[in-house]
Amino acid sequence: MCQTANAFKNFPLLESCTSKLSQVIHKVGRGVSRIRDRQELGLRVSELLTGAWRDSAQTSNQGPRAGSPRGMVVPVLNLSEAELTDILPLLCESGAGALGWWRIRNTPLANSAAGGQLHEVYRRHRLSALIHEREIAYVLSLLRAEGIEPVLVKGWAIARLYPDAGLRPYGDIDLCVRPDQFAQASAALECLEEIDGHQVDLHCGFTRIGQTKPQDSRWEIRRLRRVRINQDDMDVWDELFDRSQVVPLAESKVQSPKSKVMSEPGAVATGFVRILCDEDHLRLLSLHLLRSGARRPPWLCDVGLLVESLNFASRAKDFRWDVCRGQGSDRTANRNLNWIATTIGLAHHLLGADVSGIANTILAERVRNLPHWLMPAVLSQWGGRRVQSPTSMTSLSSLYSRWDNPVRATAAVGGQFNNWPRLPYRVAELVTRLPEVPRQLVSLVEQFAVRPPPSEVRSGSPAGPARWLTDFRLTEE
Amino acid sequence: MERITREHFPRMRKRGLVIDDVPDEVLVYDLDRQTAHCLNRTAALVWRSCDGKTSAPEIARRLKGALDAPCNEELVWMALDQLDRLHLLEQSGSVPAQFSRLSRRQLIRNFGLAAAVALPVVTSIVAPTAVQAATCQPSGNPCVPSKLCCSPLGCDVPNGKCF
Repeated sequence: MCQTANAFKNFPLLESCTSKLSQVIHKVGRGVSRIRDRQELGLRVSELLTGAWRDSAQTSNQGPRAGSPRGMVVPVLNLSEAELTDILPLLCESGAGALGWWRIRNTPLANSAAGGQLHEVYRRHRLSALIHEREIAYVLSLLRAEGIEPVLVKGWAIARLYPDAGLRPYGDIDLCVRPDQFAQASAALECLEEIDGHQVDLHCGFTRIGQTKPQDSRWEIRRLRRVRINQDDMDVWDELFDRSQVVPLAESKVQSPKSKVMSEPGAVATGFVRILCDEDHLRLLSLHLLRSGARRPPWLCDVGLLVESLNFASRAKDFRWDVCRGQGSDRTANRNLNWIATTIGLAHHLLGADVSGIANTILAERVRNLPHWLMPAVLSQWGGRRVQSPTSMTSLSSLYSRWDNPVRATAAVGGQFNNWPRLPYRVAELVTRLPEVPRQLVSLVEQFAVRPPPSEVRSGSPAGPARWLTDFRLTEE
Repeated sequence: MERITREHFPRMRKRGLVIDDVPDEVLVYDLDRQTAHCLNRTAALVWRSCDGKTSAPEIARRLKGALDAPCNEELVWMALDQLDRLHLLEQSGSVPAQFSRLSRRQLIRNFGLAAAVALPVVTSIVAPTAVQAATCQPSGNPCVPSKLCCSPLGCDVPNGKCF
């Protein structure tokens, strides 16, 4: 060894090359080991959240809410306190903290320090659920005053199925409005920019939900106002609107009648809200999950919960798969079906969702046999931390995370989830994102040039209930 | 000693609050101050009894029946003191001076350990952010003696970072 080292001294270039090579090998080795670690952490998250949305008879201390799946057994949890502590930041960051608490609440882990922190998250989610319902009621009243009937998607529309109001984190209020009413609706909600606590994600019809949007939503709204109404968009709206269902907004309070908002007697969340039918909702959740790279476990819990609440075992014939796959060309409908089956398969394999009723459907094969790369990729996402600092690192790390997420890459280019290599999809996604590069560079330069002092960062955060909720208000894509 | 008057008949605040009953505790969000609190069963029972007509001894009697544990007036005043300081009562300063700032230790000393189970506790809810929740150092963070690297990570000694 020494002799080799001495020999290299006579060839400085060779020595430097060898040293660089060994550094690269070391880094690759560390990279591989990190990916394995992330997958292992992701696996623990998956174990903790298995069936976390269920209200098992043994663990329940409240009656199930309307629509939530009943009688499902929650598997025994084999997680040590140290392992729970390890995944605690991941749970808090991804919005799965309350679901984690629900799962451990009747186990010895509930009394651990990590359990205490998860309990705090749950308490916070409970209160934010009440505030969120108030916000929805207020925003709906603004739109209805203009004669606009919106459809609420994701968020509360799926949260109402959980056995407890505090299990799911709330982000924006996703509302879809008729395409030819979009300009009017966005004008009606303009006042919310000056009112604390309301964050509405307004969608022009249904066709663009779940697609990646530019970060500047005001710019997007201005652009959408100018866009000519497409007849196809109108047709899609009419079709989905006709199938939509109306549910009472205060539904979640039925099981806990003591819960109430006492601030303004007139502002108690009452009335009704229009949501998508189950078939359309399942498609929307599946597409949204994959387009977002399956990064957050609660989104897959949503799918698991919806699938179980549909109760395929006894109602398989009632479910309209032809509606679920959506309209459009055969190619689009088949792709949708592939994505929906993939998502249900993920919910089954990673979170133990009961899919027994799907055995006789056209999706059975796909649900049972997922592409070999898919589960490790999702677990790796769940086990990875995201950079929180408001610096240029955010842009750089988001660039890497895009490359690092084959699920997102496949969905971004409308690919099929199969066993083929993912490299072409990753490259294609980067190419499709090239037009964004100049704007990202500008924002990168801006971050370096105009970095506000910490006090300004704090004051820039939303006031009112939103400020209190900011820590876990999730950034929706 | 301050005389207990009609002003000392506490009344719970109702406006500007979001209240949620969960098993064994009550969650309260103060819309005016943007703070959230968690009331344990004893504190919640005391708070719910504050209708502006019921005196502390009467609340203590009710509490004794509900909790099946030794309760007295001091315990009720202790709860009221906490509720008052968190602006959950209508009239601020409605707790007589002799009962304000009663400590738990003092109460347990006076009434024995049996009183500990019935102690009123009002805590502020602060959900941990991901960074706060990290009791161990994730990958890439420096190894420090106070925080171990999260398992199965180890400390890369030359770089001084967990990997």
